[in-house]
Amino acid sequence: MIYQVLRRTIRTAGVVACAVAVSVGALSAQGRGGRAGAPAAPVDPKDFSGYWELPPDGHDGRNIPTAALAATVTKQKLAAVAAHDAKGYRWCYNLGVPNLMLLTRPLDIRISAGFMVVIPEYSAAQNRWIYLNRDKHIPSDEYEAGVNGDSIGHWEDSTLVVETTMFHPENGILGIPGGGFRTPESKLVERFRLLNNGQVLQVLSTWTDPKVFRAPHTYELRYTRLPRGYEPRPNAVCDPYNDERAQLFAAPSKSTP
Amino acid sequence: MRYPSVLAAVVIAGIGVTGDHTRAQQSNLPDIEGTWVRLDTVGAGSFGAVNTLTGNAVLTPEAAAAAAAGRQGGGGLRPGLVADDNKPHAAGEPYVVTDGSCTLPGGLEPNSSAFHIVQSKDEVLIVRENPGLHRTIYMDGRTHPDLSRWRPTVVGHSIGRYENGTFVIDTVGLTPGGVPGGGRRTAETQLTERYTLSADGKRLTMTYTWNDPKIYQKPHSYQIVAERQPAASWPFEDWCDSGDPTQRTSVIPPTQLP
Repeated sequence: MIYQVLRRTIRTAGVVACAVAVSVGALSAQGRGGRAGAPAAPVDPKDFSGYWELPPDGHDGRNIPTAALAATVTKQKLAAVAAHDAKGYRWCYNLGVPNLMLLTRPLDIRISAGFMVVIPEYSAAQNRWIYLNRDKHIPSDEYEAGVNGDSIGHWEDSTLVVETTMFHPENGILGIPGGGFRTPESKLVERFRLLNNGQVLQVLSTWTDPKVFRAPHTYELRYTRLPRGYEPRPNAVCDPYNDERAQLFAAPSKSTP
Repeated sequence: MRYPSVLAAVVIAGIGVTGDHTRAQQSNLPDIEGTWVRLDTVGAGSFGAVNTLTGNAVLTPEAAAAAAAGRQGGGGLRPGLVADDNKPHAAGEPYVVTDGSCTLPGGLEPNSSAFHIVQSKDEVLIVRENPGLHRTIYMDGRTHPDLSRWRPTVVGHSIGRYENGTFVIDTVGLTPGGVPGGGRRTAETQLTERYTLSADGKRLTMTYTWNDPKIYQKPHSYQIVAERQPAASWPFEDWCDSGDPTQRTSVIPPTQLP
């Protein structure tokens, strides 16, 4: 009897799973992809090209300790940065480093001899370019600072070490995960490497800026590789003129009976 | 039996990273990676004059009637905004040429900004300098999706291949709308692009051919030429602030001097 119930349960679950799979597939071809799982063939440890996604559970794939801020960082300064960023989220400021790297939609990362590009599935984010074809930053008097800064990378064994600096003082979201904020003088060093036979991309980010941090601030992100054959969905849209969305930033909704 | 495995690992390591682009150079595939700027030598002066470059599409009577009726798709201003009425505006009287949003839709053909091509193993990316949906051209042999399950986008669904040194892209699944030279398109319309590199690698000739028997009496074809930028070039960030009210009144005629 127990066996029959168990078998019926499994059969029902299988039918439900198939129905869900079919209905999801029928919705849209975007987002389609093959089966996940570690490939049988050995993986090139430097081949980061693919679609990468942070785990949907915000507690997974992210190890972000609280930053030790410099004594010169006042409550007033933190409040000013928070107000700036609140306005930025309200008005869909284009994201760049570092918040671009924390999006929960997949990132399309492509790497070639000359550069690595990080492309989000989000309308309010800038594409990020990391240059592997030069070992010096663009001279500051030639560079127009932006939300992503200027990123150059080099290989240390199978780890891609990326150094980024020359951020825009105001554009974009300034807050840094774990606390603190970026300034034009901030320097970010990221160490990208593959784990789990190429199925996980680990990125260790370390910020230094004596005006902001008492000690270098390091956090870790781990992205999961999406199945080969994945196709991006249309960009998620941030609409600054959507009145109902704007209400979210005004005050918490009141429950109505 | 161990040697083939070791050899495979060495080969895989060799063609990886450094590899995708280098391999293109070594295997006589066209090396189109880099930064490019559209180089129009005709049509300057107005957007309409660009038709000098693209020619005029020969539409079917049905498509011509639809075009004449102004059903070419496209967006519109948000409620509450007043569009430019093409009349002269007094000094200091602001009028709208954008709706203030800082996001751009992206598109197929390059615009006046630079565009960047990334040539990787499974995909070729074509990325405009300003924000907006980039183009992904799948190179792994996949086919187009069933269009009944596809939500059309401004860049559609593209698959690519190399043919005798030419990069060939096939695209369907586009949002309905206009095409340069008076053409039109729907999700079923097929676009074939052929990218050919000049012998010195500095010019990229992109030939666009639109096919759709419901719209065109004959394939609608035109070329755009782009010029390669120096290897050390980098993209500019296009920044605007949607929270700035002047974004929505982006033209304010100045007071004329006597």
